[in-house]
Amino acid sequence: MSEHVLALEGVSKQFGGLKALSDVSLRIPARSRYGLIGPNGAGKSTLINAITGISPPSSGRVVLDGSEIQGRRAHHIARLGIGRTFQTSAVLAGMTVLENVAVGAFKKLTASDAESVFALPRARRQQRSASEAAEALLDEVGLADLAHRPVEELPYGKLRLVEIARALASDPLLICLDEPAAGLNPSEVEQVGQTLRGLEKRGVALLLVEHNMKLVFSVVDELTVLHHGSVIAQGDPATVREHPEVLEAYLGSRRGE
Amino acid sequence: MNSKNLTQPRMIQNWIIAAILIALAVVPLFADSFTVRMATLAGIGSILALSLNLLYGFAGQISFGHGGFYALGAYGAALVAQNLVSDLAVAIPIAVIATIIIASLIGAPVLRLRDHFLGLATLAVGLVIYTVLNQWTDLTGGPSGMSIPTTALFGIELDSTIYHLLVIVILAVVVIGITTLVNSKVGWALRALKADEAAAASVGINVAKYKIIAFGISAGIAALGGTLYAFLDNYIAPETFGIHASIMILTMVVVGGLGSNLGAVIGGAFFISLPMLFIEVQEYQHVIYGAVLLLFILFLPGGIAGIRLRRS
Amino acid sequence: METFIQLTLVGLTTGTIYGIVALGFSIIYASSSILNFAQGDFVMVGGMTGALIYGTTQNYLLAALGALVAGVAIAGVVYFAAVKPLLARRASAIVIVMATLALAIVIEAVAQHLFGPSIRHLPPIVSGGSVQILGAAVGIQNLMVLAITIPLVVVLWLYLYRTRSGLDVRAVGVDRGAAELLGVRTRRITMGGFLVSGLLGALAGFLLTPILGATPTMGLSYSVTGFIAAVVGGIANPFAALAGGVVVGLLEVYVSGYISSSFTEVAVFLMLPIALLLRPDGFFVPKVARKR
Repeated sequence: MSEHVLALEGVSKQFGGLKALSDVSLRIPARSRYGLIGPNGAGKSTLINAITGISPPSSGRVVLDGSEIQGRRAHHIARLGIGRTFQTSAVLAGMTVLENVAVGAFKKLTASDAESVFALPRARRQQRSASEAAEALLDEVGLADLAHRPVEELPYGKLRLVEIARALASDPLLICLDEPAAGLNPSEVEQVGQTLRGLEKRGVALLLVEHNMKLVFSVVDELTVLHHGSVIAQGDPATVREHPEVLEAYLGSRRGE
Repeated sequence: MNSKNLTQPRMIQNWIIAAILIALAVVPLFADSFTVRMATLAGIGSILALSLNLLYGFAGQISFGHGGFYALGAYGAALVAQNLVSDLAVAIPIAVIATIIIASLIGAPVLRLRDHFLGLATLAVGLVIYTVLNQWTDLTGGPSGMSIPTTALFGIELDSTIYHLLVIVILAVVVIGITTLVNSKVGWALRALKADEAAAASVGINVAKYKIIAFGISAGIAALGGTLYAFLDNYIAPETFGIHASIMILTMVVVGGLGSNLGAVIGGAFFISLPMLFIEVQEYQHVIYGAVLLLFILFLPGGIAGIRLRRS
Repeated sequence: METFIQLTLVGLTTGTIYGIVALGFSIIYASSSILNFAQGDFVMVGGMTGALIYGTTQNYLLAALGALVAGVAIAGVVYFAAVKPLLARRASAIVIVMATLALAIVIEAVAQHLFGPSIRHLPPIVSGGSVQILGAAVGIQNLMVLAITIPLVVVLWLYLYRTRSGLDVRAVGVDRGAAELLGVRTRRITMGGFLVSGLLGALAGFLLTPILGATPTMGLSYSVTGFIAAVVGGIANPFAALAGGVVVGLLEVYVSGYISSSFTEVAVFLMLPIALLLRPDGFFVPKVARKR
């Protein structure tokens, strides 16, 4: 594993005349926890989409564990080792909680489609271990007893945890969480925080996009602040907190709202 | 539609399907030949419904043109029967595989479309297939149709009872095949992409590839139904396969309940037999398909299977 | 050269009629994001009603009015029976399209039972043959089609782009949710879109019956052609859709004239996947960079 799990170099994104991201660069050390904050509309989700291949960058490089991934298709990037959650909860309706998490390990089901369709032993074995691993993950986040419920039955707070478990199921190098605390009550937020702080021993790096400052500062080692698509501050929480431009960005944008 | 429907086949549903299949299989023991033919046709209807249920119920991709694949299967079989040998053992593989290939080629560009645009593109596909079959008189006999000389399997001629059993056996194989598929890795991929394509991609599922796989397999199963239909009456004509066939198949699945194999089996068997169950219906069958489809969309979007699941 | 002009003029006429159908499609799509599969049946109802009324009263004006009223009425049926309840339930787009398709089948079958399958005719608006343009003979009826369509298009344009309520209509087409929040009465607009499309469809039917005749089963084929025309031109923009109709009409006559008439249907159908793949927003609409 190279020193940095993810490196962005000069990433920009243009939509027609609108420049959503300007020359964003950052480095996330392997197995570390990294934050991405900024006022609404700063470009945080755009950046996540650029990294994960949903909406590739217009220019710049995205390097995952030493290989360039910008321009590759989303499912390919996922297979290379990035898991993610979505801002609007993207659980899979029509499947149980367990299936939702097991599907996260899809890339590990290396038996071919044909083997799987004919229910050959290797394929079934892989699916079984994916399900078992999913159960273990659900146990970790405290949802084991809900494993066989349809996922639509879960309250919103628990859906977030299901998504995080799904993102972890593939043993990624990095997971990108897009505002996991949105819409959660304080005890649920704490639960998320606990899970995130525990990521280090799994060897998974974290990129956390969040508005909830308390959560961010209690979890991450380093962060980047975005404003109007550009980086205005980078560093550890203590430094960033004091940064005058950051305060300006938050206070200023609140005035404008 | 009704998101409370679990799209995973449940054990009880499978047992009921087995019971239905056994009931269908024993029909020749005590019924006249008209009833036997109706029961055979019912089996074919179930196969058609299952094909669209796989694509739309499990993978979430709509097709308003499935009558076209039904047609390709029937005409493929007729062409094989007239030009090679009139034998199911040869006709089925050729017609089904040819249809899967054609469907995959069509599917690749068409499946990039979403929702209603996909529906209309598939409608156009169904109409093109119908028009070509109707007008390419040299190849297909045009509106006067084509005949299939004999109904034989590996050289042995089949009477209507044996043929009926063959169709039911094939139906059973289709049910088992689809159930296995849905529980497999491919099934996970399809159900995931139906639920949320971006989320599916984020776990490494190649959404475009699996959509085409679903489309191809679904078309192949519909073609299988078409082949069996061709050998049933030993005669096919384009009018069986126009837009109304596509609507009929759609009605089967919506009424039966999306995502439910049991619903598809029941809906399929019922709607294809409708003109024969009630002779007076024959003239009005098209109105009935449309009206029933509309009523279910408005008042029972989960279909019949939807009622069951809500109660349990 | 004469043939080319002849073909072109015929193509322009049928193309304009397709364009009016496509216009109706597009108006409904632009004001509600619904693809209305019963659009072709508006055409059929207009043509059949017009022919029927003329058949009994020999009064052209009455037949025309009857056709338009029938078109609006059937559009109302589609809206109130299927679209309104499904929109209220926030059903997905595909379900609503399915419902319009189902309703189209029902309307067609009912019409077939009421009127019988034979072709109905109407005499042309102005009797007495043709006029010479650029060395080719053009039926007066064909010119009438253009003469009626042009002011129609102008009025529509003025409405959509120069009036306040026209602005509301365009807003709903762009973003229904946002328009609702801004206080635009979206349901009124959707209903209005349907009724106007019914009117336009019936008009198209009335105009084409003297040329091509009317049968109860022609609805679906006009729906498909009208839809293809709208997609080729640009379904979200009524005028682009109209232009798309003209293109389809011209394509039809050229294929029929220079290749073979049995290929026309397939050629038109093939325009759909080609358009959807190359320019999904339509050829007559400026290409817009999409934000995902």
